[in-house]
Amino acid sequence: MELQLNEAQRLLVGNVRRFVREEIVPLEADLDPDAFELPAEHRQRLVKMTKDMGLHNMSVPTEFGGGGIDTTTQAVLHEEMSQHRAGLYATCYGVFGGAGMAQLFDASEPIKEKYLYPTLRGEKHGFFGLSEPSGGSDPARAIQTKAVKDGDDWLLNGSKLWISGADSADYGLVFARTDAAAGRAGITAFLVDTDAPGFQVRRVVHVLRSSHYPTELTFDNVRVPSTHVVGDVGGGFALANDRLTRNRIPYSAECVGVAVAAQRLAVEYSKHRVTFGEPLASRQSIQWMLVDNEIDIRTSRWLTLAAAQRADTGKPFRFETAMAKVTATEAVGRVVDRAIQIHGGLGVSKDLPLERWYREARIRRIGEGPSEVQRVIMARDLLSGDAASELSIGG
Amino acid sequence: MVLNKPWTSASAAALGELPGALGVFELRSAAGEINFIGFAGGRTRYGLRSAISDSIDQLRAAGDAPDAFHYEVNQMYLTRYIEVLEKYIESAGDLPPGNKAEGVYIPNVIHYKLGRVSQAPGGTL
Repeated sequence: MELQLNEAQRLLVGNVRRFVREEIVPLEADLDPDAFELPAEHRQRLVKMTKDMGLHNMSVPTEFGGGGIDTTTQAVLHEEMSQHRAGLYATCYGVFGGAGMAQLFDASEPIKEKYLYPTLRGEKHGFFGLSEPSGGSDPARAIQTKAVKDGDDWLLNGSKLWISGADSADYGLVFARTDAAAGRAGITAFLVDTDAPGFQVRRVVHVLRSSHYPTELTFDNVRVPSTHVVGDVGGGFALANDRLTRNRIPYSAECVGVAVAAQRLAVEYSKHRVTFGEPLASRQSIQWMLVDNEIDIRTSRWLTLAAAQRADTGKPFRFETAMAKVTATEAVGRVVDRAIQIHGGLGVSKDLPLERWYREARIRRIGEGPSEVQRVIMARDLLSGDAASELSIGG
Repeated sequence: MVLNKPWTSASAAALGELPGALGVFELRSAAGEINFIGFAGGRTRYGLRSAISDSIDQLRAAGDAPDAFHYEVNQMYLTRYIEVLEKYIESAGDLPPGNKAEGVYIPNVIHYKLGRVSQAPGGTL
């Protein structure tokens, strides 16, 4: 068994690798080390380049003007796109576009006209409002924001926490409880305009990263028309779950990319830095760190691509995605930590990207479902027999 | 005023005692108006010391001399900068005068707050 990229994938990887090294990395020499956006002239130029490459909004279906690129190819491209200082949370500073609020692909035409198409054109921005102060890992039970029917409308009351991008959004996809007794089936997704009376971004939550900083939101009798229900009433949990599961694949691939970039720095530095008359690379303690990095990188890459391939072939991929997410997010932390150790004081300075990766990698083990929840997902599938076939080779 | 810190007169001696740390700051005119909100980021040579001194020099050159400053040491200077600007705009309805100068970095989210919806952050970051 051998994992090989096909010709088209090799070309795309080569193009994206050149783009990151020749267009993104040089710009970062002049940007603030915590920068999360580009000056206007560079952004416009680079967005045009990604459009010309056919890679803008790459995960969006071609019928909506996106790249229509399969999950496996997306994974290998995200590994390349993240190999720069801002790579974990401001991958290429957003010039490749995004997923374009995929939950709206099946919405009614008026909803698509008002929200989806402007989002795909970059004219409107939406946020994803799932987590609450009561918790984010178990949305079926933790969601306390309530939506109550009022004539043809719904009235939303409650709060959300850890919501990125809400203070610059035009609308949000907000998950609220519509049936207190129905558990998972009691959650519904609503499109909420951020200029609706009663909606407030209460505060910025300062965390370890500057890009995609989270906010806290409050909903005080926010009126939402019934036409703004996304999917079925009671179908919100499945909608959120599908988004979270799919997103974990590029999320994992970006961790692999940053680990690769950190390893590249560590290998180069260890060959050139001389201590006690010998390069660091001649020390067994350093060699072992570099080898452990490589083990972490390759394990993460294989598991991420295995999950992506299952998604592309229509097989269940929740178990594999959870395993990739745990492995890659935990691995990138270890790899960056070892790279810092090899660099000594330079490793923790803002002269190098390692300190930013170190801070941001720590968040990766929590965001998009913490490691412990991924293990719960895997244990559930393993014990119920859903993942049993994977216990034997060729199963 | 958003930062809950004491004001210090903008004397050369006081500026010389500023820390080299990263953080955010506000500058105040003699009339007591905020005339600039800034941050000392990871590329500043001497952190708050050089960021505040340089900003005061630039405002003086533009004829808008600050009388006092206060600051907050903060590693997450960019998100705090955004928050301080957002709170200032909530009360004043616009940017402080000094932040409107060419070359001052204004994050995209602030353009949005001001109704100048933009994917085009101005200034040098």
